[in-house]
Amino acid sequence: MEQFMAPLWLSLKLAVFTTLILALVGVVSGYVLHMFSFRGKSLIRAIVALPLVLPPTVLGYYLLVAMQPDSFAGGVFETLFGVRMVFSFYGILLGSIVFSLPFMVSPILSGLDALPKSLREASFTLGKTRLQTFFKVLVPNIKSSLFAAFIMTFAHTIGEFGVVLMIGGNIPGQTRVASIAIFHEMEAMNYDVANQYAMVLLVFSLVIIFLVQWLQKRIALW
Amino acid sequence: MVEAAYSLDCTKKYADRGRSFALEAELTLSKGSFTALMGPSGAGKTTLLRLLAGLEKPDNGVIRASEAVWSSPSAFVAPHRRHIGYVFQDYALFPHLSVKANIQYGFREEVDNAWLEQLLTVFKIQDLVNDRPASLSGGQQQRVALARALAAKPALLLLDEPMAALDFSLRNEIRGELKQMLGLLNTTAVMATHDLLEATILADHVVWLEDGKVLREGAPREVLKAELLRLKEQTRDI
Repeated sequence: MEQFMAPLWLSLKLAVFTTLILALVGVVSGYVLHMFSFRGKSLIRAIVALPLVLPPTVLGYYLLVAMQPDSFAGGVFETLFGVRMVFSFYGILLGSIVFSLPFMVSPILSGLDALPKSLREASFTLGKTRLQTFFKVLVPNIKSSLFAAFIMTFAHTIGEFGVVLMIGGNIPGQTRVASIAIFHEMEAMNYDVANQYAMVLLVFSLVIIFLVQWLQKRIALW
Repeated sequence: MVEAAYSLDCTKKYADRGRSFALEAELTLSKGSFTALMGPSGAGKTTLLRLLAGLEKPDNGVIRASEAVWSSPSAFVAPHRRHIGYVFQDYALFPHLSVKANIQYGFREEVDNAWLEQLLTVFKIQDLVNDRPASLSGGQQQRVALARALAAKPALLLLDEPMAALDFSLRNEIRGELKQMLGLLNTTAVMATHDLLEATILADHVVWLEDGKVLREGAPREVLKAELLRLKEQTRDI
């Protein structure tokens, strides 16, 4: 049982860390991209959205190359933090963060863009700074977008396969998450076990969708 | 000589309904005065208000508040530092806050409860303090927006067609309340409006704009009389 649960716990751990880190990244980038005008803003928005269209294996490949111990980035992580990125949990965490970035940032930016411009302008004329306006007026009015961003990021990370496999491989207890466990059991022709993992992910996905629908109604009334 | 509280001498390109214009504003507002900006749609009334608020930067020229430079090619004072009040056409009330919290948001430092009570009383919104903006009528939202803009006792109040969506009797009532509060605070006010009656009742100075240029300015009666005569001439030509 413990052996069966290990990939599920690892998936959960990966999704929790990815969502928490991306929540911070998403809110900060939402603030910068929405509240400031600067050159290259469209390019940054395009780069953030890139993982939506980029095949996961392509992204995984580039990250794998970039994180090799003899590469610059891989060397920095190893020297500064003593962490080897490839074929480790830290590597798949970084891959998940990059791959799920648009799932967190895009809903937040869409929510902010949909708010009437006059709300933030009213706040400025009432003596509030950009930062105060962002947290006191804008963020409370995009609650449902924030919620959608958190859930989508979490759910997307739970089912991630391509990037994780490219960067992390299939190491039990370290990088073998639930989606990779399905692949692994299929290859070993353990169809019953693969089916159990698949069933857990299917039920999880259904629960997430119901939860999103239920909570969005609650948030709308809040 | 009347003390000049604010002065604009600037240009700004703007667009309205797909057409481009260049606003050429040369204007002086005396302390405690009430100026009505009038003219057809696209004349530059809102752009002028936004320049004063710091929501837009002029392309050229200077905007001053007494001796301080608010906007120039080398200096810009951000809107939150200008000590102004702005009533938007759509009121821009914060949907997540109650009426009371919306008004409290307008206080720069600590909430002055006596002043808050006075605002609630004058604008007749004491019974709505716990309501959210979405549940209010247009007139009630207008009153909350005015109360919020006046909460910090601004030196300059900017009003962008604030009563455009209200019926005649409600406008009349709110005009009275606004006048009462402005008299109390000695606030300089600038209002964009299409309403001749409103300009005559509230303003002591009218600026008539067309295609971004100041066509004429002066006492409400003179400016409006001249505009009516011009309109009459134009109609006769047709």
